Amino acid sequence: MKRSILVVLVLLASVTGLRAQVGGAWSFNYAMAQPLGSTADFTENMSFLGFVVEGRKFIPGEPLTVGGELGWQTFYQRVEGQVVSRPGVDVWGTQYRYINTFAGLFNLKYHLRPERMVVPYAGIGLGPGYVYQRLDFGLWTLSDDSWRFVVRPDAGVLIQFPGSNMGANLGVNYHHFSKTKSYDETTFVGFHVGLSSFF
Amino acid sequence: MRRTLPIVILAGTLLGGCYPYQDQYIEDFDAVFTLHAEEGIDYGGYQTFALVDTLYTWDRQGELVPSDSRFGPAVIAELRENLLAAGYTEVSDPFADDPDLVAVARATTTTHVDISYYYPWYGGWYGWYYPYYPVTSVSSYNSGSLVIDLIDPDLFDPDTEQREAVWTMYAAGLFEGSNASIETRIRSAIDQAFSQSPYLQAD
Repeated sequence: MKRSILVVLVLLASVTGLRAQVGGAWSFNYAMAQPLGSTADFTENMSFLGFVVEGRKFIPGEPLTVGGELGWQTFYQRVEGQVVSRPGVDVWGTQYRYINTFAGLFNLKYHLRPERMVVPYAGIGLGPGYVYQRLDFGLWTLSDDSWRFVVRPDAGVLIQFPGSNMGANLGVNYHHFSKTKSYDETTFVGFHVGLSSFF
Repeated sequence: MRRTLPIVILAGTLLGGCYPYQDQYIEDFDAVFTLHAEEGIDYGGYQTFALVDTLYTWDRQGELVPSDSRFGPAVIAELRENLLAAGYTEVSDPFADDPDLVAVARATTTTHVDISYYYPWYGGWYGWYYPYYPVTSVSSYNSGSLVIDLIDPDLFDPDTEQREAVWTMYAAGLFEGSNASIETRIRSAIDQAFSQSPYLQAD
């Protein structure tokens, strides 16, 4: 699957034409994500609720952009009829588990052949993140919220529509929200697809 | 207005999306806790039990008094059925036969009232405004809890001058719905408590 995607991207990059150099782009992306590690232990379902707004601007004469982004992703899962055991006590009930993540990142991206209509890129985002984790159980709610540090490498492709300053943005990323005293790190692999406006 | 509407729609979408699951069934609020000894108690060694065949509740002074709940007989019947299924034998005379365990059930209901005030914004030809008086929202719901203790009469704590429970079930949930559905949920909660306590089995 990964190989097929790579082949398609390379083909697209090689067959498309040139375009005028752009200064940067705004992207509005729908985001999906698959939780990993201890995050998946809490909510293992894939998330289809996410959104990322991102801006990037080319450093003149370089294939590099600097920019920023705001992202949100919600994970949730209903767990029915599970017995949770602790020393001396067993608890049964329906659980509703939620994780909401918010990230405001500074990003740096490298673009391969930015003069083309189809531009693969890879980069990294760093910055503060906020995680709100909540467990609804019976008549009770347990919740925890905390600020984290986020490291988010990503890769994708910008595709400019012919004769337009609009385009598509497809990509994959890995989010790592640092752990806290109470909770392990929050991690997930994200996928995004969106519209870009070039300037 | 044109600028505001997309923001309102986006904010609503995001806020609604934060908690995409909403509790939809009364049963979703049911929970069953069972507390037991990790060591020092041989649950299989108990052979007989006596059942206090009255459901108790707490009065306003916090004293235990017999409950007039319509669900009392169902609680007692389901408790007896589970104890017998676990292999324990019910004694015919609790005072003369010296049972190994004594089962006692207590229940209570509580009414919760939530009152909230909010200021809805209205749009008009002279701009947005909100009413001087807040709109009041009142909602209420009833919750219920059931506690069942299995007491070992031979375990007497001289400090508190009380006998000790070797197993406790605490079930809580919404006390809403038809009487038939409430009774079904009560019976299911007791069944669940025994199901998650497999050590309650006479040798």
